Amino acid sequence: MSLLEIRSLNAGYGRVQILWDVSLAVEAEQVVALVGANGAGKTTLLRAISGMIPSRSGSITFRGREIAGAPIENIVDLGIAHVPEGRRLFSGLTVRENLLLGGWRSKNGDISRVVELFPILGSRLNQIASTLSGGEQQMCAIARGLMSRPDLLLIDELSLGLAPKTVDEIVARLPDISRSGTAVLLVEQDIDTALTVSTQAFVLETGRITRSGPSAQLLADPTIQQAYLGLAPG
Amino acid sequence: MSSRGPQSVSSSTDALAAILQGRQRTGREVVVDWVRSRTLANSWPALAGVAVIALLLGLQQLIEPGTMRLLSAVFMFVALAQAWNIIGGYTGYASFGQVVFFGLGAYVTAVLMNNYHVSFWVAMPAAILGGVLFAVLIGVPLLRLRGHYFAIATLGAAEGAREVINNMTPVTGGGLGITIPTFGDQAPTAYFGKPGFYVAFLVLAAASVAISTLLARSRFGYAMVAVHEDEAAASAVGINTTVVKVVAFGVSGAIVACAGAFYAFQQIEFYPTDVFDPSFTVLMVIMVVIGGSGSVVGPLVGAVGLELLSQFLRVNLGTYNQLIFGAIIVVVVVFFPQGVVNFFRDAWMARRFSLLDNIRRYRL
Repeated sequence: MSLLEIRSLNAGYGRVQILWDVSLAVEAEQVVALVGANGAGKTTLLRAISGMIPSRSGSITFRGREIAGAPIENIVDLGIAHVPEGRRLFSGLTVRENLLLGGWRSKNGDISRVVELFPILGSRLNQIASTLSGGEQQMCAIARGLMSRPDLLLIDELSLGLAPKTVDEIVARLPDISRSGTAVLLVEQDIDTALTVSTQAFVLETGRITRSGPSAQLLADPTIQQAYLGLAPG
Repeated sequence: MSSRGPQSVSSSTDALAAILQGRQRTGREVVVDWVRSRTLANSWPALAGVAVIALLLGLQQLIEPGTMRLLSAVFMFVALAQAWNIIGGYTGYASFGQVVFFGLGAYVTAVLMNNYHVSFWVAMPAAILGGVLFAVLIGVPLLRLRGHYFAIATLGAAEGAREVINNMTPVTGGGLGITIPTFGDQAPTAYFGKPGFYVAFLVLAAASVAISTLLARSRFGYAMVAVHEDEAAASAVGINTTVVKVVAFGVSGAIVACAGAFYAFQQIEFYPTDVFDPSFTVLMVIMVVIGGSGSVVGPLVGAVGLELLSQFLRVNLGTYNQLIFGAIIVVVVVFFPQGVVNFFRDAWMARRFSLLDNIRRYRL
């Protein structure tokens, strides 16, 4: 049984359907990439998993339990944390307060583990979150997500607005996170990065899963290279 | 950037972490921990509060009844400003109809005491309960709105409630007003008189400051601030934002309704237009904004400062007092857009006291 299993999910906003018959699985302690172009529905899929938008039909099971339609806080309790697109830190609060609010629901006040993962945050604890650099903000957002000690971390658009070097630095921590018991579902437009760090990957196109498989295999696939990496055929 | 040793990091995290965790402790542990954690450094606000209350009670022996009445109004506005700050400051939902709880509290008290000859000490808790129930009733739908929409909706709710009371003539007396019996055998509770109301409003103000302080330092207080900062992010970390908003609205409504109950008894006779007067809401907003929202001291300073100023101008300037009062408010807002208390706190921390910088910083 997979950690997260989505079967024939349909979801959207109001009368607009975004996701069509999406099926996907994330195994425990793995980094899984969800890639695709702008507007493919990647963010919508993450929002459906974490309960921020309702699903219309299909099932989402997490650790064998149906979570489609469950309130967000119950999904957090079950062990899913969502790092939203654009970080969404509590910008007027300090780094420490942001981290502790990440553990608000689970009443976890131990920040040592996440500070170990991102040591730079340790020297920024009393700093107001909005004064951090973009990379530090992303680290803070991921660390805040980890504070609920989730089994699955959903990261939306990790590389948004960050320098390539900073992205590499943060992405390098993802295997550590997954090895320590928190699987990662990474949504990324930077397909090269996403397929390199992950073991499994799913390609979303206009709301449908069109390809899936081991990341290395997809990375070597000429059609993927052509469509997303801008490499010339042949 | 300050680089801190691991020692100082962990120790300063502990207190906050303990609050956010809300660890399950026995009553005995809570008391013992609390007593042990007391030092002069963290007890001085409470000690200062007790000293101020003692001082004000002592002052009462020295002043005339007229001055007591004036200070009673100051105390009432302290409570109203603290109440508004809970929903408008900490939680970030600027209500422009908070007077609705004031009017409801006043009318629940007056109707119970006049129509049913119920004691004030029964009517007042009933008024608080009424405030909470009404807050839940209108809070659940209205707190889904944000910003201007929430402001307009709450304003409408208050205006609407006044009209309902106005037209329930058989029960409320409608536009003819209502009178609480205070003489002889007809009085359900003996009238407090000016000295009595001085103490009553002082207790109300002290209670509202204490409630705000406890709320701000609690796990729930952090949830309110998180909702204010970023509601989507707050729900992403598992905070039930609807519950947080409705509870904050309810606590605020309860305090305002309690103030309305005391005000009704103090006034004896009043009309719907008196206790549903939108200028009560406006004053609450101005006091919190000028004092500094999102803190306990800000609304306290704003309420005391503005009410004293307003009374001073009324006594000394006659006809033009409102004009001057308004002009002073405009000037203060221009110079201290973040609130007087927040300005001095930030200036103290940065060791920079420049008003010009402050105006530039907020691009006014």
